[in-house]
This record gives sequence, structure tokens and C-alpha cells, in this order.
Amino acid sequence: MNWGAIWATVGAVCAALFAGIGSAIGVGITGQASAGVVSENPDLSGKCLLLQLLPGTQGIYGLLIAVVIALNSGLMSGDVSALTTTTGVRFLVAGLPIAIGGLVSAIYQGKVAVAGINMVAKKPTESGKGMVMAIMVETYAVLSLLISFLLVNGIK
Amino acid sequence: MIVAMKRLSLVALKSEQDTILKALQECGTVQVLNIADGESVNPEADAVNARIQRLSESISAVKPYAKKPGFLSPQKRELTLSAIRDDVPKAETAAGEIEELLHTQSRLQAEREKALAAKEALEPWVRLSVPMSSIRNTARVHYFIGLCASKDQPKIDEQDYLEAEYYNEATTIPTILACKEEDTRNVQNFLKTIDWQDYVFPKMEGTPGQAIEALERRIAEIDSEAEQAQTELEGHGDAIEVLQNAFDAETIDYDRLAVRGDLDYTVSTFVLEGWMREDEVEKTERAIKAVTDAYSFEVRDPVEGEEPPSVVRNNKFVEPFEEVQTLYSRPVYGSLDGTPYMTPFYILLFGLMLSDSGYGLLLMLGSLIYLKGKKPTGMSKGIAKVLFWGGISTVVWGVLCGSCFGITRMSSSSIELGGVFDKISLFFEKLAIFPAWLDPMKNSLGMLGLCFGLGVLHIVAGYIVGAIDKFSRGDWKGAIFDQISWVLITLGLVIGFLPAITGMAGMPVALPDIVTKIALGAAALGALFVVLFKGREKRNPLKRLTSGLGGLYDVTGVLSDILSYARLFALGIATGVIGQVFNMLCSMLTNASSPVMKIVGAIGSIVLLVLLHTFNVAINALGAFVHCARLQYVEFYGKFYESGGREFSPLSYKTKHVQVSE
Repeated sequence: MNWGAIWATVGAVCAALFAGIGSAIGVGITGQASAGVVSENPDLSGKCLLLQLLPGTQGIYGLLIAVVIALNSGLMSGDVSALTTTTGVRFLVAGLPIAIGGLVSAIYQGKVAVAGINMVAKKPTESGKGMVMAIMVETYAVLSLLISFLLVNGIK
Repeated sequence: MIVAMKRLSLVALKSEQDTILKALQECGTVQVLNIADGESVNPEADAVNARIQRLSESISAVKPYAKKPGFLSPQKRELTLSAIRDDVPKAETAAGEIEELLHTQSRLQAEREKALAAKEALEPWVRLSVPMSSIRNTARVHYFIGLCASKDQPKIDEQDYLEAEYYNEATTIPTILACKEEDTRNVQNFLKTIDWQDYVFPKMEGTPGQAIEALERRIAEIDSEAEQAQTELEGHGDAIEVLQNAFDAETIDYDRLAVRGDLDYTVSTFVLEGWMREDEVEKTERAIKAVTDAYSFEVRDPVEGEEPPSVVRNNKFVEPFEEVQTLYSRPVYGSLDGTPYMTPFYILLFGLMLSDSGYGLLLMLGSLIYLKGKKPTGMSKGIAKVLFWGGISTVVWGVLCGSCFGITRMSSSSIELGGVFDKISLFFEKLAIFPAWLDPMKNSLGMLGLCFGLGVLHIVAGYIVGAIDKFSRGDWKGAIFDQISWVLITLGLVIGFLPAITGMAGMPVALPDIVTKIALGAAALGALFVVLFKGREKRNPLKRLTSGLGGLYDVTGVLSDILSYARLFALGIATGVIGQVFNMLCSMLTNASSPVMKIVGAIGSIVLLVLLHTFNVAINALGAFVHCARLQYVEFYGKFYESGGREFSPLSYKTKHVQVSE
């Protein structure tokens, strides 16, 4: 059994899966809040949509790291014979920042975006501030992405 | 720059009040202040407001049936004020009719529900073959009509003073009981002991069966009436433009009438106080002069304690970026407008975050088409222009250290693309332009260095802008001790430790010893300034020193500010690599062996590519816009900007659907 390939696969799966779950939750709760606001005032749907999109990026970051792991480890081309257990585990661990950071930040970003959507309902002109508040949370997803990327890319 | 404001006191004749206010509104330069004593009643404005409400309800009622405006038609129609005023009577009639129709619809709806409920209640009684009105108490006989539970049926049958008729065999049985008048009390008591529910026949002719038929006919009638009302309502869809024009005309009137409540009055004059821009004073006075010559127009500078609204004015290139600043906060009146300083950095950093020349091109073209077609005003116009400049910067950064629609120079060598895409990327590889300067995939640390370098530049620029502003106000102490000292610390530490840091990263940058020594010396001097003069207002030397040492702790803030620019790198690769992944997915589709599947795959992949890249450019442009704004608000504005200015909102034509032309 090639443990290296298994660990690398687990790493790619974790990155895409957990960040994806976080984004699904974040986008889900913001979507519910948007629907409430839009039912009162359909003109605000554009602004609400922008806020709803924000917690969706973590899933993309997770996918990105998953693909880079798959490419660098050879999972994409199918040639994994050279993959040692150590390297496989390194891929797994390198994927963890975006997996966990993405999961948690997407959920909290979703909560902030929900608050932002409520703000848009009361003050439609202030949607920009709501976006900036949500993006403050995303900073940490971006940092997780960066460190995951640097670590994965560093594995030769 | 922030425009100087002037305080206006206008006194004129009450009889000319409306003419003057109209002239001021057309001129659109004065924000009226409320100087009225106490609450004032304004019945005229309230009446207009009620009409506005009605128009707005009518507009939303017929909006679904109106012709949709074309994708690229302008946001607002251009019409004259008199043209939209002329639409008011027509719109009033239409709004009246629409209101009537909406009333009819809700009445019919209620009636329909009532009829349905009556029909449902009657349905168990269809077997009753005598008219419902015939079952009523006489002098000798008392009737009980109701529903009884089937388990209690035997109990009823046991009572020998009761005659019972049952009309079906369900769990609750429609039942009519008859008894002699003198047994009424007994029966009432008996019914309390069993599961019995009284029922009253509706006041309708005939047997229950006939009544149900009548109700069904009534429901059909209601349905056709409702359909007719709906058709009529849909017919009013064409009236939407008239309604919207009238809405704007009434809004303009309301805004003007509402101002009356802010004025102060004597027996024959009114007094208006307000703010206006210094450069619009003459224009305003000309506007008043044109309608009357009996007025007093006094202008003065704001005095201590007054808080004039804050307006910024910039050249055409910088102007759109004011919207980015407004998203954060307006500058306090009398402080510094950050827009001109932020603009070049915004463009620079936006491009690096998106860093895909193909997407940059799309963004440029997209915002150009939007600007030309929709002719947006206000904030959307500004943001579209910001995205246009961001797009240009993205094209440049994409060539230097990014990709083009996800394709990079190394695509074909590191990632196995199939089919056509191999040829396309081979083409790019031969051109060898993407990325021309620095490849973030190969040289991550170099890219990180570039981002931090730009960050240091941005932060130091922020401190310097603050220093220049403080110098120009004569606050040389603040400039040197609060601003320049941090320039020295930041630059000194960065340059001083550059060889060490880059050495750790494996790419040592050699600097002459003397340079690093001078740099560290400068940092020490800056730190000394902070320690000694941060608390220069405090008399107690001990408190002053602790405040200074505490100030030195801000160096961690500067460090985290610099690290924050790592997002430039991360967002850059997020765009490029995801684009690459999309290309890869689509190229897999073209890899089929049979020629038919190849063609199907090629068509599918082209459709998919367009969709996926559109998604990618949209979400990453949004990310770049907001993250870039954050770098300005937190990292740059944090060094010098005073937020919290009030909006300038002059009495003018604030329309929603129409652009009022001369």
C-alpha cells in the first residue's frame, strides 16, 4: 500500500472539503438573510448578492490548494510511485491551514455578512461598509491560503 | 482637497418664498439647516408625501407588467422638469385606477375564501333533501343542528325523547335532532355530556346541495372578475413611465415644501440658514437675483463649534476614487482629503491582486460598455471608473507576474493540458510573455518580497502624507514626532534587517555595512523621538515616559500592517490558479477518442470556459475591490486620515427615475 499517496489524497480532500463546508454554511445563512430582505425590497437584491458571495471564497481557496496538492504530488497524472509517506503527510499537514482556517472563517464571515445584510435593509447606502466588515474576517482565510500554498509549493 | 464651506443667511419676503426656494432647488447648491422653533406643521408637504406613497405603491404594483428596459439602456431618462410635471395629472388618474383595482383584488380574494369555507362546511349535509330554511323551531318542536362524533351515536339513539336524523357515516356525523319544546332543557344538558358541535346553516335558499351549487357559481364569478381585474392591472404596465415621472416630480416638490419647516419666519419675511460651497456662492446669489431683488444674502466663514458638511473636489482622474473613500467615511471638515494620495496605490494594488491580463481586459471593456450604455450616475459611475483603471493595472501586472485567462508560460510544462489548450499554451510559451518578470509559482518568496515591499512603500507614504499635512498646518512637533519618527523606524528597520531577513529566505540581498548601520541608527533616532515626545502634552515626566514607551509598542502594529500585504500574493494566485484549474477541466472534455465526442466536448468546453471564467473574474474582481479598499482604509488611512465628515446634501433635484435636463 502506498501510504504517501493516501496521505496526499487525504490532504487534498481535507482542503477542499472543510473549506467547502465552511463556505456552504456561510453562503447558506447569508442567503436566508438576503431572501428575507429582498422579500421586503426587491431593489436590494444586487447589494445582498454581493454580500452573500463573500463567504463563498473560502471554498474556492480550498479547491485551489486541493488542486495544487494533487498536481504537485502527482495524483493528477497518476504517477505516485515516488511519493514517500513523509511527503504524503507533508501534503496533508500543509493543507490543514486552509482546511480549518477556511472552515471557521467562512462561518464567521457568513455571520458578519448576515449582519451586513440586515444593515443594508435599514440603510441601503451603507452596503460598502458591510462588505468591508465581512472582508476583515476573510483576511485570515487569505493568510491560511497563503501559508498552505507556500508549504505545498515548497514540497518537491 | 476639501472644499471650504460658507454659511449663508438669506432673508427675503414671505410672499416670494416659493419662487426663491424653486430657484435654489434648481441651482442645487444650498444645504438648508433647521432653525425653526419647535415642531412645525406642514400640511402641504404631508399631502404631497401621501401622493408620493400612492405613486410608489402603484409603481411596484405594475412593475412586473411593464416593459423591461434594455440591457444597455441608460439608467435614467433625460426629461425636462415641466415634462415630468405634465405627467402628474395623468399619473394621478392611473394611480387612482390601480389603487381601485388592487382594492377589488383584495376584496375578491376575501370573498372567495369566505365562499370556499361556507361550501366546505355545507358539503357533509348534501343528503338533506329539504330546504335549510324549513328546519326552524316551532311552538311545539325544537330542533338541534350539529355535528356529533360517531362514537356517541348510540347514546343519542338511547334517548327516547329525541328524534334523530343522520346525514352520513363519517367520524363526525351531521345530525338533526328534534324534541318536544318542554324537553329542550334536557336535551341541552344531554348534549353537553357527548361530543357535540352546534352548526348554523348559512342564510341561503334551498337544500344544502342547491346552496353548494350556488356557491360554486359565485366562486366562478369571482374568479372571472378577478381575472378581469388582473388583465386591467396588467394593462396599466404601460403607465409605469408616467407614474415614475410623476413620482420624481412629486419628490422634487416634497423636498422643497419640506424645507419650509426648517425656516424661521417674521410677519412678512422668512429666514433661511444653510451651508454652501465657497466656489458656488456667486452662482447661488445669481440664481436668487434672477427671481427677486428684495432679499438680504449674507455669507460668512464657519465659526468655532460649527460642523460644516464635508465635500471633496478633485480632478477628473482622481474623482471616481472619492467613492471608494466615501464607502469608508468622509473626511472631517478642515482635515485632509485622502483621495489623491490613495488613487495611485489603489490602482497599483488592485492590479496585483487580480493579476490576470485577460481578466483585466474584460474588466476594462465591461466597465467601458457599462459606462457608455447605462450612463450611470453617482456611486455606480465612480465604481465603474475605478474598475476601469483597475482593469488597466491588472493587464500590466498580469503580463509582469500573472497569467492570461489562467494560461501562464509554465502551464504546458508543469500541468498536462490536452488538445487545443496545449497548442494555445504552447503559443504563449513561445511568446514567453506571461509572466514576464516574476513568476509567483516558481519564485514564491520573491513575490512575497514584492508584496511586502509595496506594503512598506504604501505605509511610509501614509506617514509622509500625514507629516506634510501637519507641517502645512504649522504643527511641526506632530509632523516630526508622530509621523517622521515612524518613517524613520519603519524604513530603518526594514533596510537595517534586509540582509538578515533575505538571508534567512535563501536569497540574501547584500547591502554595504555602512547603509545598514545608518538605517538602524535612523530607526533608533525615530524610536527616541517616540519615547521622549509621544506624551509631550503630559506634565508629569514619569507619565510622559510611560506614554512614550507605550507608543513604541505600536511597532508591532506597523509589522502586522506590512504582513497584511501578503494578501496581494494570495489573491493573485487565487485568480491565476483557479483560472488554470478551469482550463484544465475543460481541456479534459476535448480529450475524447471518438471524433464526434471530440466535437461535442469542444463545444461543451467552450460554453463552460466562458461561464467559469466569467464567474472567476466576477468573484475575484469583487475580492480585489474590497481587499484593496481595506488596505487603503486600515493600513494607509490609519496613518493620517480623520474620518467622520458629514455628508453635504443640498436642496436639489433628487430623482430616482429621471435625469432632469435644462
